[in-house]
Amino acid sequence: ADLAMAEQQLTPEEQQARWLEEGKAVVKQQAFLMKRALDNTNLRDGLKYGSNMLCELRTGLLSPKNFYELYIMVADEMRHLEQYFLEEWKRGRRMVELYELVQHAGNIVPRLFLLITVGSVYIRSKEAPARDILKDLVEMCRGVQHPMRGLFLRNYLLQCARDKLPDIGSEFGSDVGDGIDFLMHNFAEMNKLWVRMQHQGPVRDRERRERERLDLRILVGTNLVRLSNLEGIDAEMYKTQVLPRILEQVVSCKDQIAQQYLMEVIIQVFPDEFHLRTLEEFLATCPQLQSGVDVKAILVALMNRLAAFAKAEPAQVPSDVDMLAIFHSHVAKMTGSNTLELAASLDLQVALVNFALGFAPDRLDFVDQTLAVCAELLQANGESRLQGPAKHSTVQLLKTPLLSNGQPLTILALPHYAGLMIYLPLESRSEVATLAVRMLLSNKTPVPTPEQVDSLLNFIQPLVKDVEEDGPNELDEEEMDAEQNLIAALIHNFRSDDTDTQYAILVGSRKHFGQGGPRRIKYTLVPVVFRALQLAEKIRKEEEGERAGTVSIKKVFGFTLETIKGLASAEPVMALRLFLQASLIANKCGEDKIAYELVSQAFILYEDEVSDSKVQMELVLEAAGTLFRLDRLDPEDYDTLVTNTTKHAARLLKKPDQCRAVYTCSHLFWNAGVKYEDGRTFQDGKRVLDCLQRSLKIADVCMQSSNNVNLFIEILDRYLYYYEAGNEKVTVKYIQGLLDLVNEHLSTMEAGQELDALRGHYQSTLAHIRRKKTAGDEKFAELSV
Amino acid sequence: RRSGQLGGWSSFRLLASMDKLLSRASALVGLGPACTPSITFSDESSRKRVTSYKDGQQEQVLVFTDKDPVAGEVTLKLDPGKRLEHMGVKIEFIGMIEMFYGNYHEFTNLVRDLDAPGELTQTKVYQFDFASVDKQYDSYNGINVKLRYFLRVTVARQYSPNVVFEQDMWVKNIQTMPPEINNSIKMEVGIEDCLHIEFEYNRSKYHLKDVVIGKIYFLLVRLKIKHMEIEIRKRESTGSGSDLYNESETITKFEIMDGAPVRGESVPVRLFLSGFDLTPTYRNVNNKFSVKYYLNLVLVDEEDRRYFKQQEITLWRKEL
Repeated sequence: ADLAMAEQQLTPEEQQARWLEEGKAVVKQQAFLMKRALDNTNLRDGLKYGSNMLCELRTGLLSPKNFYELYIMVADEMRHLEQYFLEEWKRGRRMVELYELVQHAGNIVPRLFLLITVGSVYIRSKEAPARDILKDLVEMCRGVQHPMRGLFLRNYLLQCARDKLPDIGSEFGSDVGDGIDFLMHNFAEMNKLWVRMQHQGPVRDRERRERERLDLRILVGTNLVRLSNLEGIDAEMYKTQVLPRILEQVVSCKDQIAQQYLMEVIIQVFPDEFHLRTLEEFLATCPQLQSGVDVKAILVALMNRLAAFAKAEPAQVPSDVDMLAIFHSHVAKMTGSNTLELAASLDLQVALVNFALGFAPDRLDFVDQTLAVCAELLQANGESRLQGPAKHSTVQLLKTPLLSNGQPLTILALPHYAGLMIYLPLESRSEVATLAVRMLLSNKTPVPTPEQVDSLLNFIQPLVKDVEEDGPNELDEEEMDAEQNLIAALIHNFRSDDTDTQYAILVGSRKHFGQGGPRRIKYTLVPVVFRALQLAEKIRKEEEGERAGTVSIKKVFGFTLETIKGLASAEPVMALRLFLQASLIANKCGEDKIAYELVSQAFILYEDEVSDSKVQMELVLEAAGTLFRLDRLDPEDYDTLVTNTTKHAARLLKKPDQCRAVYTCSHLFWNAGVKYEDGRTFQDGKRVLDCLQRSLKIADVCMQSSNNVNLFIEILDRYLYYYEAGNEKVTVKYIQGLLDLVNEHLSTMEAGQELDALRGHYQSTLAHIRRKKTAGDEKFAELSV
Repeated sequence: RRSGQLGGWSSFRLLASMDKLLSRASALVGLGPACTPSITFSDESSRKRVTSYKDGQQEQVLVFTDKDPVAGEVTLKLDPGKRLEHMGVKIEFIGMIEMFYGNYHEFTNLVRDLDAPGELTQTKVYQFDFASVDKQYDSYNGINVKLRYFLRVTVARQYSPNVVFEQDMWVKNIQTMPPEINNSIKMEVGIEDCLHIEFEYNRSKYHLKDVVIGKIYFLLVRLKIKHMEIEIRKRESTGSGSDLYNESETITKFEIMDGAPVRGESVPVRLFLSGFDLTPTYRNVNNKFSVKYYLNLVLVDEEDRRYFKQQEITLWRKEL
C-alpha cells in the first residue's frame, strides 16, 4: 500500500523521468542482444531484438522532449543494424529480399523503422532506383498517423535519405525533381501531423500542447532545410516548382503556429536571390494566413534579410523589380488595416526604412516618406511620451537610418526625422542623440553651418541641456563625464573655413551650451573658448592678406570674454586660467588692451573667488608666467599688472609659498621684452633687488619655525642669475653673504636624506661658480667658495 | 469446445488404425512380425517433402501433384529362416476424408494385386504403379477434418491377422492458369455519423506467395482510433445441415496503422502472404468440407472497442 501511495505521489515530471528511464533500459538491453546476434551473423535474432528495441518507440506516455531522447538513443543503435545490412549486401544478399523480409514485422512502428533502415542500404546498393525506393518509403510512412510518432518516424526517414536524394551530380539519380517530390511529400505529411497535434486531446491542455508543438517544429522545418540544400534547384525552379507547393501547404494547413514558423523558415533557409525573384508570390500569401499570424514579423524578417543582402551584394539586386514599391504597398496595406498595434506598425516601418536604405541608399526621400507615416501614426496615437514596445520601435526607427546611412547630418536634414524625437522619453532621446554624436565623431564629419549646428544641437538636446518637462537630470558624475566629453569632442567638428560662418557657429552653439547648467558648461564652454581663440588667430593671419570676412578680432575676443565670464561663477579657477590663456592669444594677435583686460578679469576672479591657498600659489605662478610673455603690453599697464601680481605673491598664506612666489615675481621686473616707446626695456634692478631681499627676509622667518635651507639656496641661484645678467643693484657681497649663510646652516644640519638632497643642489650651484672662476670671469674673482 | 473436439479426434484414430494395432499387438505378445513391409517411390530423391504430423509424430512425407504417377516398390522383408504363408499381397491407393466425429470416407480406392496366394521364404520386392491416378483434392490437415492420401500394403493371411502397412503422401495441386476473373475488392463501410471508410484490396484472389496491396481511405472519423490491423482469418466448415461445424482461426494480425487519422487520410496496406501457414481456398471438397479465408479489417478505438469488416479472399496455389 505504501508503494502504491508513493507511485501516486509522483509529480508528472518524475513520472516522465521514470518512464524514460524504463524505456532507455529496455532499449539498452535489446540493443545489446541485437548487436550480439549480429556479431554472430544471426540476422533473424538481430531483427527480433532490433524490433523489440524499436517497440519502445510505440509508447504514448512520453513528452516530446523525452521521446526525442529515447528516439536519439534508438536511432543511434539502428546504425549498427544498417551497417549489418550493408555487410549482408556485400556478402551477396539481394536487398529486395531484405526489403520484403522486414515487412513481415507485425507492428507498424518497428516495421517502418526497419524498412527505412533497409531502404537506406537498398538505395546505396543501387539495385533499384533511389526515387522508387524513396517514394515507397514516404508512402508507407502514412501508416503512422500518430502525430509525434509519425513526426519522428519521418524524421528518421529524412535522416537516412539525407545523402541519397536525387539531385544534380548525385550518384542516386540526377533529376532533382525526384528529390523535390520526395521532400515535398514528406514535408506535407509532417506538417499535417504537426498541425494535428493542436486538435487532439482536451482543451485545457492547449497551452502545454502548443509548447510541445514548438519543441517539435524543427522536425518539420528540416524538410525545407533539405530542400534548400538541393543543388539542382535554381531560382526559376524555386519559383515554379518549389515555393508554390510549400506555400500551398502553408495556406491550406490553416494553423497559426505552423504558418508563422514555416513562413519564417522559408525566409531563413532559401537564398536571397530566390526571394528577390518570388517576392510577389510570397507576399501575396501573407493576407491568406490565419488572423493570429504575426505577418508583421514575417515581413520584417524578409525585409531585413533582403536589406542586408543588398548591402553585401549590390550587384546581385535585380534592377527590373521595384522592391521599394512592392514592400511599400504591402506595408501600407497592413498599416492601413488598423488591426496592428502601434509598436507592430512601427516595426514594419522600421523594417521598411532599413530595407529602403539597403536597396536604394540614395532614396532618402522614400525614407522620409516612411518617417512621415510614422509621425502620423504617433500623432494619432496621442501619447506624448511613449513607453514599452512602441518606444523601442521608435528608437529603432531613429537609429536605423543613422546606422545605415552613416551620415547623421544628412539624416537630420530629413524633414520628418528630428520631429519624432518628441515622442520619446529622456533616456531614449539621449540614446539616439548619443548614437548620432558618436557617428559624427567617428566619421570626423564637420558640421559646417550655423543652421546645421543649431539643428544638431536641438536634436541632441538631452545631452546639451535640461528641459523642465524631463524633470531633474539623474546622471551620476561618471555618466555625465562620459557624455559631456563626447560633446566637447563634437564641438571641434563645428568648423567652417569661413571666419564669419565660424563665428556664427560659435555664437550659436554658445547659446545652446550656455543653458547646459553648471554640470555641463565646464565641459562644453572650454572647447568653445578654444575654438574662438583659434578663430582669432586665423583672422589675424587673414588680415595680413586680403580678408573677406567682416567679423573683427575684437568681436571674437569680446565673445571669448563673455563666454569665459559665463563659466566664472561655476568654475572660477578654470575661467581664470582661460582668461590667462586668452590674454596670451590676444598678445600674440597684438591686441594689448584686450590682453590687459583679460588679465585684469583674471585678477578680479582671483580676488573674489579663489580662497584655497594651494590653488592661489599655483595661480600666482601661472599669472607670473603669463605676464612675462605679454610683451606687447604698454609698460604702464604692465607695471600695474606686475605690481599687482607681486602683491598677491607676498600675500600668500604659507611663508615658503610667499618666498618662492616673490622671488619668481622678481623676473617680472627684469623683462627685456616689454619696451617703452623710447626703446628702453622694462628692467628695473632696484625692484628686482627689493623682491629678492624681501624673499630672503621671508626665508629667514621660515627658518625660525622649521628648516628651510633650500629656500636660501634657491634665492642664491636668483642672485647669481641677476648678477650674471648685469643687474648692477645685485652685488657680490649679497652673494658672498648668502654663501656663508648656507654653509653655516648646512654645517649645523643633521646628516640624512634631506641634507644629501640639499648638498646636491648646493654643490651644483657651487660648481657653477667655480666654473665661472676658472673661466676667468672677473666678476666672480672676489667670491670665495 | 475445442478440447471436446480433441477428445473426439483421438477416439476416431483408435478405430481407424485397428488393423495396425492388431499387427503391433501380435508383435508385443512375442509372435514377432510375420514380415516387415516398406514402400519406396521410384522418384523419391527428386520429390519435395513436407513435414506432416501423424498420430502426434512428425514425419517427412513426399509431395505429389494431381497427375504425378505413384509408382515404386514394395519390399516385404522376411527375417532369414522364416516363412510366411499368405492369401495374397495387394497394394491400395486410398484418398480419404476423416472427420473428427469418427466418420471417414474413402473417395478414391485403387487396388493392385502384387502376389497370388502362396508362400514367402525370403524377402521379396514387388513393383507397383498407379500410373494416372486421380488426386484432385489437396491433402489437408485441419481442425475437424483431415484429407489424406496413402498407400496401404496388405498381406492377407488365413488364420492370423493380416500384415498391414500404410505410407502417407502429401498432395498439392497447382493452378497453372491464374484466375480469369480477379477483380479488386472495393467497399465503403461505416457507422452513420461516426466512421466512414473505404477500403480497397487490389485483388480478390491471391496465390499463396502473393502480396495483398491495398489502401484504406478515411471519409469520416469521429472516433478516437488507436490503431488498425488486418487479420487473416480461416474458416473451416465440415458436415452439412444439422451436423455443420464451423471453426474459425486467426492466422495473423498485422498492424497497418498507428494513431488516429483524420478525414481525408489514406493508409497503405501491404501484406506479404508468404510465411503464413496458408492453404488454398477449398470449396465443398467432396461435399464434405470447405476451407475459406478472409481479410478482416479491424479498427480499435481508445476504449478498445473493435470495429471490423470481413471480406473473403480466394487463395490459390501457383507453385509448390
